[in-house]
Amino acid sequence: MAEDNLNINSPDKDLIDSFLNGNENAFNFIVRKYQKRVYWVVRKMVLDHDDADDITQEVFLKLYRSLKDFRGESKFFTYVYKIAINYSLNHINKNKKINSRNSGIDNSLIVSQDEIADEALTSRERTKLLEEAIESLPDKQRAVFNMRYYENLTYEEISSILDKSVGGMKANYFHAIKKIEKFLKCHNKSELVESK
Amino acid sequence: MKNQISKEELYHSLPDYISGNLNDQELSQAISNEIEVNPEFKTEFEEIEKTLKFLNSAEFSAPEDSYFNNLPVKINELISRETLRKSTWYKPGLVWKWLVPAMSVLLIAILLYNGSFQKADEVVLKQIEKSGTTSIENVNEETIKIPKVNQEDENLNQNTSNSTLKNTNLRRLKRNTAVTEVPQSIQIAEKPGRAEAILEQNMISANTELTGGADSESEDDILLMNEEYDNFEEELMEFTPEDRKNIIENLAKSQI
Repeated sequence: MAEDNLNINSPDKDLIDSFLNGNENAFNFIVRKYQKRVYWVVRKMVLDHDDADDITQEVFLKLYRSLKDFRGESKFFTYVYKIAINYSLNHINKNKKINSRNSGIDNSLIVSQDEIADEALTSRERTKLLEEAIESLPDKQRAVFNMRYYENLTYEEISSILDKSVGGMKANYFHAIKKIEKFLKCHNKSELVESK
Repeated sequence: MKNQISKEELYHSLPDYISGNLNDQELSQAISNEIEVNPEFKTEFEEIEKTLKFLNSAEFSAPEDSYFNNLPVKINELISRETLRKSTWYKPGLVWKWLVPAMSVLLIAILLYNGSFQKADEVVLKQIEKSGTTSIENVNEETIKIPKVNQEDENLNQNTSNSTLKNTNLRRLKRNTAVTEVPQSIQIAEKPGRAEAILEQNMISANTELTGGADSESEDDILLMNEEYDNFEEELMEFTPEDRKNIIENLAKSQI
């Protein structure tokens, strides 16, 4: 049977059809196929690992419930992306944890400073700076920046996910980068920016 | 030839130009030209290039390696929990989903039903107010059937008022049944309501006025019975004493 041949590399349509025909295992393949991408989409939006973990699970739960509504009009990942971005934006709006974020992963990196080479320290500071810079962006601008810069989505795809005009997306991306630039200047981190 | 590209579009396309994601060759050429001729635009180009350089060099802190191995398990557990929760609460939820609208429709139907009869009541009450209680026949002949008590019945009642004592028991018996028959004599065609109750009372009082009291309401029926009783007595006298005794015994047995 075709269901027996399914794996993580099977086309999305086959996995979806199989799941809709009652093969629960097909959904496991969908999870394994997209979990990293979904996690990182969410993580770059909410920045905190624990929040990203919770939201990623919720995104897949939502996907499990609503997969029957997917009509195949857009790419499957665009559909998943839309759920992930909406959940992330809802989370940001609910919590507004600006400046109070404290990532558990970052805590795990805190070790004796003697053991840290200058390069490693610089890397950690860069990460912190990057997260703070992204955190300084307004919600929608952050979404556009992440989708364009990290996911390399087209403006058409971004506009369909956020239900906004294509021109507006392009302007949003430009202003997001300008805002990050301004943030770096304000925090007098130009030496970090130029060090690489 | 494409329309002249605005300055705004040139600026907005700068990040894609630097990243190498600008597919529009004409726009790309226009940006290159602008960088050469416009120092301000060149400065903007350099600033954005610097920022993108930083973004390229910085990375998010990654979760532990085992995280993505465990994530599908956690997702499956969450789905199982939610499915179980839904199966427990979904059914009563479904009941409410259907029960509440059904109850609402039922309530509206009852209100409409009562409302329509209230209107009918109002019409009847208006008719009563117009015609008064003395002319009952004009009140609502369509909806109310009233046994007509006319002057002939009244005369007959007066003529037979001095009937013999032997009819007393039968009269009492008949009167008892007649009393119960009074409300039945007022037949209301539709569902009884407040107006009908008022009407009924009016009927009774009108009947009382016409026939001279509650006891004489079914006097005409009693008089007919008295006549039948007299005939029966005469016929009985024609039989032999033995036959009469048998007939009386049979009548007693049959409890007539």
